[in-house]
Amino acid sequence: MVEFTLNGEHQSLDIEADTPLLWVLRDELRMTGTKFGCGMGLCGACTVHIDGVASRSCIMPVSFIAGKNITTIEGLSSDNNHPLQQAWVAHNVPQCGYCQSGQIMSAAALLASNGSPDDEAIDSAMSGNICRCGTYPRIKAAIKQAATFYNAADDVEVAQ
Amino acid sequence: MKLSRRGLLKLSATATGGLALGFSLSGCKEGEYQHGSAEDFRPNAFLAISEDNTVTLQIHRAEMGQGVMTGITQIVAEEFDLAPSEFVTELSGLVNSELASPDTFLQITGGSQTIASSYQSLREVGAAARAMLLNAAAEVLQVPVGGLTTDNGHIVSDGKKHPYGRFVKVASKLPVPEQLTLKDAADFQYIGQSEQRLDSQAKVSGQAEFGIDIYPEDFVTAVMLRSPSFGGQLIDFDAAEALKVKGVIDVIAVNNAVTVVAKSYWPARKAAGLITVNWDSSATANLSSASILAEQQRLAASEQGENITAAGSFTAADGDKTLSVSYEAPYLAHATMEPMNAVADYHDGKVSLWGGHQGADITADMVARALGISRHDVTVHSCFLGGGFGRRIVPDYMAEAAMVSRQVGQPVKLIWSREDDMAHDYYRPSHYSELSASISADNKVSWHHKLVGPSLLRDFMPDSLKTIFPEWVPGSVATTVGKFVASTDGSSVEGAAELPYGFAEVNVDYVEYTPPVPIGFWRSVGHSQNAFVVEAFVDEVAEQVGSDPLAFRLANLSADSAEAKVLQQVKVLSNWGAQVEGRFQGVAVHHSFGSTVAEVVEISMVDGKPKVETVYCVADCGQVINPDLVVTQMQSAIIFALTAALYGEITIEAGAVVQSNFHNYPMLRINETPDIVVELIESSLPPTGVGEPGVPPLAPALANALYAASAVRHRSLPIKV
Repeated sequence: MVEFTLNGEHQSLDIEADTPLLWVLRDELRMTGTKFGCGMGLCGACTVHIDGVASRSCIMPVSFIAGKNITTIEGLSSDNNHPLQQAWVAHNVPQCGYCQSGQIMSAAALLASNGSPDDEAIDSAMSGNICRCGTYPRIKAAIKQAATFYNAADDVEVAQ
Repeated sequence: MKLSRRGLLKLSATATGGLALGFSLSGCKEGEYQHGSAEDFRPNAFLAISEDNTVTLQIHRAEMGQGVMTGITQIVAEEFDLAPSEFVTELSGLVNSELASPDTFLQITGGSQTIASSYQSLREVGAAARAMLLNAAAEVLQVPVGGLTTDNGHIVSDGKKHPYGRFVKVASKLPVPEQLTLKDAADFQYIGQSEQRLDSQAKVSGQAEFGIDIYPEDFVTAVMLRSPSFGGQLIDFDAAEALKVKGVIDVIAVNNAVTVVAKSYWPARKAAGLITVNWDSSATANLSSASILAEQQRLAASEQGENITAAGSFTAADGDKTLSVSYEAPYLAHATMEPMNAVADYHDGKVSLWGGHQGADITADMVARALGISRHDVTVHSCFLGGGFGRRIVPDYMAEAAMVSRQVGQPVKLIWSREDDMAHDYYRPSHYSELSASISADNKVSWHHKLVGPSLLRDFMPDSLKTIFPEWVPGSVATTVGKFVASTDGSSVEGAAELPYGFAEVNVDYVEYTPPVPIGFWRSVGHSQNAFVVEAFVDEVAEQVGSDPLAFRLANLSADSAEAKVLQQVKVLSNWGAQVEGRFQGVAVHHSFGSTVAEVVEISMVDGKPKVETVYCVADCGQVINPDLVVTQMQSAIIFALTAALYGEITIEAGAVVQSNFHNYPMLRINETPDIVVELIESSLPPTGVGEPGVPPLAPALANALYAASAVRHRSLPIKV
């Protein structure tokens, strides 16, 4: 029995300990937003947050996440309106869209630790995510726009 | 614009009594569809309007990222007068055969032709539906139709707005107008606008449904172990350890592959790793990249080949400068982000399929033939594609899933691993070219090009003809005709057979050589390697002439050609020849899929290695439907091509692919991506291809930039420095 928290909800699953988190999410819980791309942690399509850290769920045995907090694309925002999701739509980022859940989860972890990432910081945080359609220039632009939104929100909080 | 085209549009009622219009996209033909039998496909409405104002548009092409869902909707929206975002879009499966491409007679998504071939017809369906609603409104409101207008989904009469839905019942009983008036381009409100993609929200929230996201009721998951070498035959296997894995149901042989059937993916994949398989790999034991290259070189030296182009004349003279070089291009995998997968549910002699594919009719036919059942008993459902790039034109994975489902008697979800995907692709073919040029004292150029490459169509045409022909035509007839049709294979020589340059003499010969490696359509197909060969060698000739590469091209192009136009514009855009200190530029121009694209690649050298700083791109693709989405396709094509130019190489050893995953078949990543600056030529000519034409110029422009930086010619892809 493995217990963890997924998008704020407690989960208790009877599952083989070596099953990668990705396949627990997809096959057991039918959370299909997290994608299978390579199975080796090379492409980032399966990126989720484990205790806030962007992690590759395809190589993460479920036993390793016992007691941890997992966030997937489905739990990133209440209404799919995270600043990154809004910026992604505004910049026409997705093409085939298959890698974008992973891209957004990597970007969200970046913004949580760095509210004003420069090109270098974006490159560093996002270089683990492959996009075969070549949406990288727009990903960069969308992250910067979302960061502006974050900072504006911070300013509002400070002002209040 | 006035049209009179009887029988173009067909009217049918929706289940709820609304207005539904089906129509022919094959605008060049009139009357009944001439290929195959109408009963082969289930007719369905293309545009359906219901009384509650729901407007549903079938997207008859695969949405694989290129934006057809948005583009198609924008075009219909323009003439129908309803904002694109108000449409409910559905990815259609196998539809009425009249929705086939006029170029291929297949419901195929490829060749960058969706918008180019459907533009006029899509406008007509929107215009016809609007006209019928206007006529119905005139009847209902008892006013002359001339006094009515429309405004975003409403009929406007005397300043009062009535939703379209109010009139669909009456409209559905009216005849389809024989005369349609299409809008003047000056009045466009959606065409030419950068409307946001209609599929973005689903794709940023994890809700877009790809094939791999389909979970049918009471299904099993399958993974397959296929022969590692091409043409290998299954001898036997030992699955004793695999069967002990919890969750594994069975291990069976299906279609020359060992198939693990399990309750979910992980136990299936884990068990697959525990199976010992004996393969007879003798068929291709001596096949390797080195053996293929050696044979290509031998044939280039020994065979005259078929003369594809013979133009002009050139008399050699003493003192002419001469050049003689060879170029090589490797096999390439598509590596779509979503590995191949399919869901199949076979029972009682019928099968339903779900998944991403680039051709519903090819899928239905391939599955029918694999199972030995009728096409009428195959139902194909479509999903978003996690990348296509030509890979999903061959739906072998769909046939596999169908065969496994029949054998296990349950719905099956088949998932390929990344390793399966890389080892069992239909690869961009390897090509070899020998080029020679003579340049006279007064700079007249003779150009000789001999290509050695496989026939891509010789396998594909017979199969696609089986799909087009009615079922009563024997497969052997389709095979014979298909091989005949493919006898001069344009896909191997496209982009090399016709040069835009006015050289004194051009001679192109083609030697067909098809090693036993599965090959297929890879974004921009033959252009992908031939533009590299041609446009890199043009630079070599320019050097012999002593001319700037861009100036040399312009000097040999007709001034009013599309090539000259895009080159002139990219010259300005890239600040050609006046770049920042330490930057080096290379240029290339290429016409493909109806469009002409010029690119300038600007690099710097860091520790002797090229760093691609900026790519400037100017594209002429006729009337632009959605400028921002065209820009995304150029960016996409440039990154796709840059990946191939720097890294792309599938090598073969002992008949098997060496590469297995992204560690040894790397993709360009965000930190390696250059700035990309795109400009589109303003044009009111009909739209032409967008998805592929940005690919071909990149590799030669990069090779040419590297020569500028290092005085070394790179004549082999990928470019290794």
